[in-house]
Amino acid sequence: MKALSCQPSSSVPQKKSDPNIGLAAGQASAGIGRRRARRADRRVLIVEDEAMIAGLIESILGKGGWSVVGPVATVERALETIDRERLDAALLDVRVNGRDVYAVADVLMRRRIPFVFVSGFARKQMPPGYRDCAHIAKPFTPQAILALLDDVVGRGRR
Amino acid sequence: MDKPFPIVGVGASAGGVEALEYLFKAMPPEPGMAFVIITHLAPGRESMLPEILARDTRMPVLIAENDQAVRPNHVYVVPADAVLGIAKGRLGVRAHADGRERTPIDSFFAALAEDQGEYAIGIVLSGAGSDGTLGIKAIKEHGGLTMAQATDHSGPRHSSMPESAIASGLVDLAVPVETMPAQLAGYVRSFDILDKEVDKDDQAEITRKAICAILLDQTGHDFSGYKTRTFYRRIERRMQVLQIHSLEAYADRLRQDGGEVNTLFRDLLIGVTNFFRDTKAFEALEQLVMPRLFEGKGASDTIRVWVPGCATGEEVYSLAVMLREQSEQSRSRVKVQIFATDIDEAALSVARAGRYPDTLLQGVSKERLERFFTSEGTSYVINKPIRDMCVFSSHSVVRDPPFSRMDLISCRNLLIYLNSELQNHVIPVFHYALKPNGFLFLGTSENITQHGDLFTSIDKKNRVFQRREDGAAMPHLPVLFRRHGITGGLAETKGPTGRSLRQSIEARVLERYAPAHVVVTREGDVINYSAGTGKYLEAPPGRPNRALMAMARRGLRLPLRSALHEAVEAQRTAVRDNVELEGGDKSEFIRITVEPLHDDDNESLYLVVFSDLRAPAAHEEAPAKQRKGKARDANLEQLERELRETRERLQSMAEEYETAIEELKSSNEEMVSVNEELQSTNEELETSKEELQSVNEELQTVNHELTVKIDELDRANSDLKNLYESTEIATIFLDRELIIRSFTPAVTRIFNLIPGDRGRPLTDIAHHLDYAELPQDIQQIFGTRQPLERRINRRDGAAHYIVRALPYWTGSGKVEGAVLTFSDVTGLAQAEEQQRVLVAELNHRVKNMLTVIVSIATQTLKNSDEMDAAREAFLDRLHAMARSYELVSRDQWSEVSLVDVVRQEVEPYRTGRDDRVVIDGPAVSLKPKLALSLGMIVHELGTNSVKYGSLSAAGGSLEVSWAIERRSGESLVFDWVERGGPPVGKPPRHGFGLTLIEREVSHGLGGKAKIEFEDGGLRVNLRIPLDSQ
Repeated sequence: MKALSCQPSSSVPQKKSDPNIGLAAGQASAGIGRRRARRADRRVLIVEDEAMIAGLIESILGKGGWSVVGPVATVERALETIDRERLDAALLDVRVNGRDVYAVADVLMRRRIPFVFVSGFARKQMPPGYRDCAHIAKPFTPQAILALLDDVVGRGRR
Repeated sequence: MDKPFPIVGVGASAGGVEALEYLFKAMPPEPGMAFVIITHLAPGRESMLPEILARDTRMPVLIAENDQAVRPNHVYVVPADAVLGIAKGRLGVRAHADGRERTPIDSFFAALAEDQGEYAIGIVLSGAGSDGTLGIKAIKEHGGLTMAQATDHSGPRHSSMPESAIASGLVDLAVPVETMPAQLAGYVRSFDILDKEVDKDDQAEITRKAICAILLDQTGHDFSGYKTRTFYRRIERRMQVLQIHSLEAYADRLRQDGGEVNTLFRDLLIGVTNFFRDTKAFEALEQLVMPRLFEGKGASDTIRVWVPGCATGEEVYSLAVMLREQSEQSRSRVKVQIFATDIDEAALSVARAGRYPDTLLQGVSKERLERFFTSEGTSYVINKPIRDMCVFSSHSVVRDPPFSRMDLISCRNLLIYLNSELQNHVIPVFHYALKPNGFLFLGTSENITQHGDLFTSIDKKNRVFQRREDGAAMPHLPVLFRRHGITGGLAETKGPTGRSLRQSIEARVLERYAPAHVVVTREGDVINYSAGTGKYLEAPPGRPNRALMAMARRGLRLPLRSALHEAVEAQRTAVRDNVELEGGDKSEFIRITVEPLHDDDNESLYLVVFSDLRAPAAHEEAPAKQRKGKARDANLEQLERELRETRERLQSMAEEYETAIEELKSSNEEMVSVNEELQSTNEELETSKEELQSVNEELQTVNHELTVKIDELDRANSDLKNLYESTEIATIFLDRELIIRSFTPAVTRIFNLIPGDRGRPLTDIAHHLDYAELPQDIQQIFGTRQPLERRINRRDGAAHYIVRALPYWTGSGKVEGAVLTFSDVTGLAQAEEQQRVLVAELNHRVKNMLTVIVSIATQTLKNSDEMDAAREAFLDRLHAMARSYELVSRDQWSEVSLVDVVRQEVEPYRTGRDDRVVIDGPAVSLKPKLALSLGMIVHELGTNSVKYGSLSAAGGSLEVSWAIERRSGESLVFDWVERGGPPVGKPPRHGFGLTLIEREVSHGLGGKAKIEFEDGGLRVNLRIPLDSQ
């Protein structure tokens, strides 16, 4: 088992009963000393190689008050961006440009940046260490994705 | 009550397995009989005969069990270490009392004969030794059928057993073994036929009398008084053997075939000799003869008994037992010697063995059995002291010179087989052979009425006779003797009566006036003296001696010897004159004449006559002549002296020679006794030889069975080996301790095994599998006795197996190990894996596609003011996407040709005028993702051109071209050039379509898009790297 692991969160009421929506708390940035992120400041990285989908997410999140970083279409770009930019959250498509995105997830977990997997895969097709992480299936409603992000980031605060 | 059926006992030994196979191969599946097979088995060995014979016949072949009912169309085999008997149709199995059973075939046959009577059949097949001969006799006596394997064609390997049985004369059918089933079948059928025949009373009786007449005519024996039932039974047996079905037909056969008459005759007599047969006769012998035999005999004497025609020896041993008893009773130390002879060598070897099945010893009292026999299994063996009294040898009473000086001759089984001419020769032989007052004991149907001059009756009813004393006892021995027989030519004994007058006169003249004479043989033994030989002969001191030379007085020997020699050699009369007979006070001179006596056949007798001569001129001379003859006298004296000396020298030489001859004679006698000792050693060796033979037989049988088994094993092994090597499934055979017993070649891919690893525990061997629980799994199946199956991978994941562990069952229903099989399902696993991946991919793509649709919908509907236009645009885009997916999925999501993508979207705009739209570019294969993206891009550009661009104007045109650029990697350079369209200014903002294009190219494909609004129309240049897709 990895040193860092996602922890399941309390359930948040969803519009649809979708078993693929799992709620887990990403770990927020370390508590004391960090400025409390306000909605307007919230920066989220989008990792998605399908342009149309990236555009959609960007527009949803933008309307939801998030400041979008990227979108980036490759794992390498993602890793670079994490190093360079300040991030409050991330949305990861599980399979990007033919590669798995888990390396990016590991880095995010190390830096205690909460993230959500966006996936066309079923939960049990993911490797064991990541099955408990926050996860939303495509296609999703704007409400669902915004709520989940809030939850994940919110938990990190506590 | 079931219909009775014949039970066939089959005896076989060395070479028997082969013969049995031939027999059963030729046997029909339901012959209507039961078979019991007796073989000579080594102790401790189970016979493999049931398995071997099961291949040759459909009948069940079983090992015999105690108290098992014998059923028809079944075959029973003797079990190991056991003796087989039968009673009331049930088999009896008894363990051996000690060591092995020497004559199991005789034992079983005798029991079978008693139990089944005429339904018993005995068959003797190949084997060494003579087991079975006595059993055959028993079966024959009880009215059963007997067969033996003939020695020709597929004849027996070892012929002595069947030959011995055949030689006993009691085998009904000596035939090759393959023909036996047919004979048996015919025999079984005839049982029914004959029962009906005999029931016809009157006709049958007439025929019976006719048959008796035929018998009387040919053999001289009257069977009309024979027991009727037994008579019919014997006839029936012959009819069955010959397969003749009516009495009349058989009578006709007898009329034509003299040989058959003889055979029937023998059967009627059934020459079975039993112990103490005819009890009354033996009792008479015991009372009348035995004591007298011992009278007046001391320790240096021997009672000599001759038993001609002794066959298998029962009679001989009966006599020996009786003599022994008598000897003990009278506390005599007289030795007893019994000479038993026969011409049948086979019977003699049985007799020498002295072993008889207990059923043949029923005439012997219990006390005698205990004292004189030793029990060996179901046989009895005569004890050594009795056996030592008997000497068995081959001898023909008709051809060979007889024995002599016998006290008792017992001949109870011979004369009835001789015709009257031969009988008349043989009886005088017996007379010769007996001592004076010796006894003759004949069989109950034999008689010597014609020879009342030779024997007196002691007990006529029991056939005990005594030799008559005869004065001029010259044995009348028949002309048949060719060797130095003593021919009758001389004084034929005529008995006390019949002397004529002439003979009386001649006798008197001979007595009174004839010179003294003797008759000698060529060896010089005197056989007749005249009167008055005392002058010339004197009995020498010591034992009585018939040699003439020993008896001759001094002075006579030399001339006698030379005269006899001359007469013998030259066969003429020899005369010696002036033989000086010394003794007394004066000498006498005699003439010796030796004359050969000619007889018709043999001239071996010589008449020696002593005639007195007048004394020759006396020595005393007239004194007147003395002076004259002085010189002559002196010479004479000289000569006479010399002569005397010479005579004396001769005499002493003669005496020396005689001494030498005497010594030679005694050496000769010593030789004779040495010879007798050697004979008995010889007999002992014969016994050892028989024992070795029987061991040999057993070994041969075992060997044959083992060879057959080995062949089967070889074949099975070979099949197994081929099976192993042909199978691709890796299989390991383990025993209960997980030791590797064997494995197929395919195993070496999984386990590092070499052939030498057989015998090592499996846990010692390294393997490539991710299967640490293997030993526990195997233990589990020992417990549950159920198979176990698992999916197991190689540790490096290079292969997948289905591992099955199964318990290893033996024939006896025990689990003695485990079988592991490894089936390579790597291909399967890989296919499954691939499928999973594909499905996941597909899911991903489908979900992506749906999300893209959502995105398109969102964007499209956002930018449109009117519902209709919005709907149309949305649906239009959806359809475009669908078409792209169609292209991609057509080739299983592998690659798509760029031309197809472009054409699909642009083709509709080509209607009518061909040169309006130009498509130009090399063949390029696109990955699915790029194909989908470009499909959407071309669609947007197309609809845009139609609505607002060059294709919306009459004179407008479109050129689509592309090329591959190779500069730091491969790139696709794509150009969309519109011309002749309505003047279009740069729109205030990019419509969704162009935004989409930009985004798609830069974000999704990692390339660059240049969109320019020229005066002629829109120009779009896309540069997309192909490597990183």
